[in-house]
Amino acid sequence: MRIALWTCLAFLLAPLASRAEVRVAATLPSLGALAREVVGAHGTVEVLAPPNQDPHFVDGKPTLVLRLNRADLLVHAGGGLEAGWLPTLLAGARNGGIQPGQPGNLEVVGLAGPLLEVPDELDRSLGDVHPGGNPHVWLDPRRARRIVGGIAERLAELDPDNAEAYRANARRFDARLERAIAGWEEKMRPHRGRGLVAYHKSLTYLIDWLGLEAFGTIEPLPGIAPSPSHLAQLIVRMREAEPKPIVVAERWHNQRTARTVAEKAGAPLVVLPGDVGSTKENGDYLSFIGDLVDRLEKALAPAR
Amino acid sequence: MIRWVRATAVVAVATLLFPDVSRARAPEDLEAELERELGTARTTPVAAQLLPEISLVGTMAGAVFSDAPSPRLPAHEPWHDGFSLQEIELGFRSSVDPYVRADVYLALSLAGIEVEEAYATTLALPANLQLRAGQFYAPFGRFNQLHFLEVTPFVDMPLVNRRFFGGEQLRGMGVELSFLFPLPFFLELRTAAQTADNRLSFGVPAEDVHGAEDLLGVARLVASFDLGERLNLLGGVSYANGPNAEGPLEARPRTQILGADLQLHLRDAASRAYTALQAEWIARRAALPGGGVREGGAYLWLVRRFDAQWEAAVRADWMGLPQGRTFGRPALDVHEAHLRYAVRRDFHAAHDDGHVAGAPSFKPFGQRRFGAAISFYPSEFQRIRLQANYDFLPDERRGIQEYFLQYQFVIGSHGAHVF
Repeated sequence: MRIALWTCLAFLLAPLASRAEVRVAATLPSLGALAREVVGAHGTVEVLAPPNQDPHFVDGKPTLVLRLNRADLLVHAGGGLEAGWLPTLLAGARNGGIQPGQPGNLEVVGLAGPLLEVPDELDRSLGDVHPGGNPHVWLDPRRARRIVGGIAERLAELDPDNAEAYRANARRFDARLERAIAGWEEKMRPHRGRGLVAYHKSLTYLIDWLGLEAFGTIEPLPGIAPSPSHLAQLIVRMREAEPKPIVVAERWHNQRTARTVAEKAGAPLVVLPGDVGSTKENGDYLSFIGDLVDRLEKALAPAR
Repeated sequence: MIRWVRATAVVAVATLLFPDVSRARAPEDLEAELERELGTARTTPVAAQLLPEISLVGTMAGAVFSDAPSPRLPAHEPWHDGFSLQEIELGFRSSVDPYVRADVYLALSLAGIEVEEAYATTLALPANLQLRAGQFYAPFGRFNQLHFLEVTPFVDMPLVNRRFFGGEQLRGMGVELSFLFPLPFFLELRTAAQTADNRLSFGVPAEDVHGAEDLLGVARLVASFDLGERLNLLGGVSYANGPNAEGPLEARPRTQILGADLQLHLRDAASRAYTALQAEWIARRAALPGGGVREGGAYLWLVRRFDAQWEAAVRADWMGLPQGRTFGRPALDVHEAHLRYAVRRDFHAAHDDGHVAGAPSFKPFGQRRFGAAISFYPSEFQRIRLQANYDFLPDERRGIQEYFLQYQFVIGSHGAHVF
């Protein structure tokens, strides 16, 4: 009788125990979107950076400390990208599990394959360079596949009960992503080798993936405001180039400078919307990358 | 055959003439090839990773005063005509182990070296608690906890902070325990016990501490809310209670300080630009031999960051909220004849012989100041700032114009921005 009672109680309490959801905090909306695909119904994902702000310059508001305080896993780009705001928040979070080096701290640049633009020489005369290489890896969906796998493995380690579910979610998403990548690559194939002038070196991985050519950047060096002489040289080079490169700026960059360069060089300007969730249409990672590809394709197509 | 010999000879001569080139190319190519095939990334050398984050911030200023300046401490603020080195701040930050991180800031000046802050902070205490131990700025108000030269929009300090806490701000050796409330909004309580050797409001040097009553106790409750994605409101109340240096050692009178602060921060959409309003009110009540003194002050500043390069700010300072009032007959007039430099004299005297006869730093005197500053950041690592103040001393019926030109550079690692 007593055994039966305990068994009943165990069955009644079991759902409560398994409802202990995993809580993920992601620094950037893209990383949050990837984590969401893996977590599925087994937990929640909170994002620290707003989708329409430069990820280098996020306000380290005390309210963000709360999201880190209750997280089981922190997914961040790393490589120095969030150095201007994350360390203070992390120190105030009072959460030992997500500190650097702990299983609950996942640095994405370590998952995404070899980084591009690893500086041979480290000096600030070269601008605000990242010593380990360019950390803007999430804009290459091939690398996102690796990131998703990495998140799944780390969640499996932290929450072994749902390990298989995380891996299954990751596999399902990976298959969708693989198909989508094939479609995007097909769409952009005619434009391979076309020049792209980015505002900041934040599009390096997108350029690398789509086989475009990094024609130049509006910033003379990372984090250094453009001087008239640098812009003049860039515009002259762009005028002479055939086919004409396109100018691509993210929303948080100086739109007037980007527009002026595009107009004076006679090149189309593409304004990228920000990160996942910055518009109604790009609420998840697939629609976000799809949106970026569409915008680039539209700008490249008429000049062909 | 002859062609083959000639080719070999050419290669041999080239190798002899350009040995570095031929030797250097091969491993580099191979490295790139390995990187592509094996997916190994070049990493920072291990030794470099183990070094703490090191930064050095140099701040210097030129100043012009239209008249003898109102009392400023010879520390970190320009206080005389001409050039001055405000500070070279050397910062070291690192995890100690998985449980603790350490932050050390040394201030180098032409007068010597000073430990600005040096503390260890726990990272993984249970129950949302956090301990901090070492030398640190007291968790009192908003301005007091900042390394103001690096993060505030002005060359100098707010008047009330300078008058009550001095150029070195309110700080000491001690322990802090803080607690983050598990609520849907940010609410944090910080409490600290520190040495009370701040010479302006308190005054027991570390070597004279005989019991808990000789320490400075500080508490701060701070809350923060997001009002939408771009607007953040932060408010806090603070209280400090500690012994001051007046009177005989046995009957050490105490100083109590109460503060309230508010910050509104509005970030522009998709931009570096923001607008921030910060206000702080501080009132002090000091018991002194023969009576006591009460006085308060406040400042309000508004800063507009236009983009990555330009920033403008205005600040208003008031002393006399509430108006300075004495109780009983405290001895305040020892340095009456030199009131203008009283605070400085007190500072030096306190350093020289431990105690000062009379308490000129408690003597209330009215003052108002209005300042405006404009800053230009050529990059993230340099700043040029121009500031003008109008300083009004109603008791002396005179106003002083103050002009500052400040230059700051940052080398080494890029520390986190303070919100």
